[in-house]
Amino acid sequence: MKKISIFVFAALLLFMPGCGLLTLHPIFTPGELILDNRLQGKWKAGGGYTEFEPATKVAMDEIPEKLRPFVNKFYLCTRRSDDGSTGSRDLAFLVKIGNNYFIDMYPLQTEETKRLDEFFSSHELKMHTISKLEFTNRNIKLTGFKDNYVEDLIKNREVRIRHSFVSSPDESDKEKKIVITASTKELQAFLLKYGDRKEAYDNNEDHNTYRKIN
Amino acid sequence: MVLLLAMVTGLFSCINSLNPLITYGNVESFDAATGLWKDGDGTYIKIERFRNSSIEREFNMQTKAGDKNAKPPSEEETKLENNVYILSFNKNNIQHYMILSFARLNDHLFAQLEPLMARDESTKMNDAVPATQKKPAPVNLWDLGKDHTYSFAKVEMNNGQLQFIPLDEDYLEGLLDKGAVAIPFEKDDWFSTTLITASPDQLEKFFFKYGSDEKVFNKKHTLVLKPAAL
Repeated sequence: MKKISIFVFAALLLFMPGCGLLTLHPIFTPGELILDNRLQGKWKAGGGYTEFEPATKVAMDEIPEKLRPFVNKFYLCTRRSDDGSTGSRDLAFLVKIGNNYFIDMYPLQTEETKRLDEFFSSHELKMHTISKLEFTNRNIKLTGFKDNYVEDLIKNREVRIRHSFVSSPDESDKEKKIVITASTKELQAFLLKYGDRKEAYDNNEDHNTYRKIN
Repeated sequence: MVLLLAMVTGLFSCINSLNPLITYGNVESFDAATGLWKDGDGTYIKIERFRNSSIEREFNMQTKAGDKNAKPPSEEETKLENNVYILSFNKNNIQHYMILSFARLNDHLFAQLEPLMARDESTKMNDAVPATQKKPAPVNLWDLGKDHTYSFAKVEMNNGQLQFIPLDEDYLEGLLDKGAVAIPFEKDDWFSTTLITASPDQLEKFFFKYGSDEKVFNKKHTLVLKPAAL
């Protein structure tokens, strides 16, 4: 048996690929939020369902205090597996930057994770997941950036966007993970520049296409 | 609910850090922290060395069946595993596990906590279930490696009681807002979040400098754990 360290094991799982662009700050200010009736409803994608509903369905104490006056301007996004169990709940914020729509998803707790000790769960690193949204006939496409696309731009000094390196206690990972810490304005400028670059996005049609159910 | 209730009420710092303060370079053992502890509300908290813990045994079982080409632990990882502790408690029928580590800086002992796992014990079948029926594994509500932050406190041992003196959140946030401490952080007003983004070296300098500052480590928030026996 080859034994590996628990710290290595954790680091291997940390920042798993497939998440697209993760940022500490939002890509919007409340005045920039938009609503689009085409988004609301239940969608089928991959191995489950995704539902966009008005955020007024979320308990007010789950919404960050300063966003509560704007609750009519964003959505609740719930992802469920085919058996109906809830996989994730997010607040979903829709904005238009340049010619493109983007969705900023911010995680909420599920019924299961609400039972976690509050101090314990306060250690979650809550980040905004950014995806490009396209409306096509009765479908929508939610497309994230390709894995490591932004990280590679940063490492190759092809883009200047504020970020932080993440260390692990064993400090063994020479290739340190990157967390994007850019401000809302910087993020918007970045999305304006890269919004139409097809090579930047994960173009897996099966994975990204959501078909309307009702 | 020693740490627990205190934690829930925010007595342990709520300003967390993206990076660890305690790494293989400064980690120290502190066996006086091991044992069973109890808080004012009667919740039990267990602190044990990672070595020989049930978590280590379980982890070894997992990796045995895992990647056969994985590298063995480095010297740094081994040092960490030899010196860190598992802090566990049960709340809402969920068994919570955190990694607890210690470092001594400028004659003060500091603790670092990071979440490891949380398991829903209610999904376990009881022992009366016939052996032929396979027991379902408890559902993990927090998996190893989930993106997480670190929290810190100063540690003191007084009359057999283990005391955690957390960072004073309000005071520290005031200092950060005023730019009075040179430590990188990110604040988002819309989502009411503040996260320290300093590197481990920068954190070490901060704790070295402010370890004696009773405004930064305010004793009015001290969390006291008393020895307990089952």
